[in-house]
Amino acid sequence: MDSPPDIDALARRYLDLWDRQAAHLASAPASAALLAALARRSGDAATGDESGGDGGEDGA
Amino acid sequence: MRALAPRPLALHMAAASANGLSALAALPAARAGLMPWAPALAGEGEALAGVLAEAPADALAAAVVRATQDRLARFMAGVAAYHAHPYRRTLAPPAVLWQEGTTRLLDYPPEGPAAGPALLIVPSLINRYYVLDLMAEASLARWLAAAGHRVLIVDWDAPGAAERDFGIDDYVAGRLARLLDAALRHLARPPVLAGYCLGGTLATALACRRGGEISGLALLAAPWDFHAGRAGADTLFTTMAGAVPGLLAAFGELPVDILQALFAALDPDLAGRKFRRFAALDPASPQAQRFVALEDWLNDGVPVAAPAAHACLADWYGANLPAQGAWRVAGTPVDPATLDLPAFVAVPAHDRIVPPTSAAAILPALPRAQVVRPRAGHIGMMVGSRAETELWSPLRAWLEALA
Repeated sequence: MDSPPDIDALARRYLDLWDRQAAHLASAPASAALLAALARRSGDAATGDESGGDGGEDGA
Repeated sequence: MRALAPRPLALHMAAASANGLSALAALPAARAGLMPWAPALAGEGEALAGVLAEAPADALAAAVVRATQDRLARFMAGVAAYHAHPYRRTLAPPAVLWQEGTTRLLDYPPEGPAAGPALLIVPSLINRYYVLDLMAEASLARWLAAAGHRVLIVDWDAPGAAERDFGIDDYVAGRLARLLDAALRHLARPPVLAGYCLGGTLATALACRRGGEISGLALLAAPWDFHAGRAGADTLFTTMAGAVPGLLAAFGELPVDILQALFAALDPDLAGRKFRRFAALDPASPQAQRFVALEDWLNDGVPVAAPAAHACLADWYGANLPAQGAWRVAGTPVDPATLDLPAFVAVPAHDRIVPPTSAAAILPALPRAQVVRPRAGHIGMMVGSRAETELWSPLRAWLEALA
């Protein structure tokens, strides 16, 4: 009978896979649109334009 | 400078925390086989689900929390060790051959008789030149000079008042063209023009305008097809290009931390992995010193002038004009197929910044190119432990064949 897996090693393996999932998610279109919206907002905030500059919608 | 590094430090710390928290939140779905893994990870995720399901849920969640805390602690230990490290770059500054605005042409004269044409290297606009002269034991410039080659390097520095409104045309048809004029006045024969990373893209454009006044073209991990090998990154860069006008209006340039955040988004745990590894190194070891030297360089980036930044994101990463054959500089098409020059093209096999297919895309236009494929990444190719054998020596041999 196989011994049960080391639960800490299993947690680390899961986190490693999760990190790679995060890298994939970062370049997904929806994530890219969100990042772009955040960047746009930071520009608006720096110039004092609180309207969102584009009517407030975050679509890419 | 280091107190804010790795830049942007708050983003890297937030990413390290958020990764662990989101992993914990997703654990029930992952155990149940309901996690929508990215397609490339689906098989691995499915296999892991079965193992996760066999572990007791509460104990597994506690183990994920412990692992996350351990990662955060090692990351922060690595950052603290980096901040406290005694290494400082102390290389003597090279002579300045020419200067216009904040751009300087740096001169590394050959030791002994000249062994071939001078090498004029154009670095990227977004990082400082000194990755080509990082430390005594990791300096392409000093290594080539010691072998009898004169090396001239463009130091872009940060844009000043004169460069604040520079676009790519200003850099290539203006600043670089005048810099080449200045170099030619000091040299007995035309230099080889080289470019590293985006500097190679700029050098290609200059070569297409001034091909009769250079001895060859060397492209070192230089992107040409900006969409090749980038399944998702082009989406990110293209989408970001739409946000750039607002940022540029706010800051007047593309700030370093925005650029760094953009690269961090491509691999959110990259800084985590690097600094956790660094935490385990002996601080006095050569590996630790090289890590610190390189990290100092990475965190010493410069902002990019607004029009140039917009062109880079929109015209290169967005519309991919170079590979489409549609890129023009000051009205002249940039068509490397018109070049009849010896060429040297380095395509690092493990490059994640400029995918190998991106750098290699120019090869069909350069039939006289010698191609090397260093077994290294984008930066490791230039300053890593294999740099001398995988890049510097082949480049030197190619230069000497032109003598």
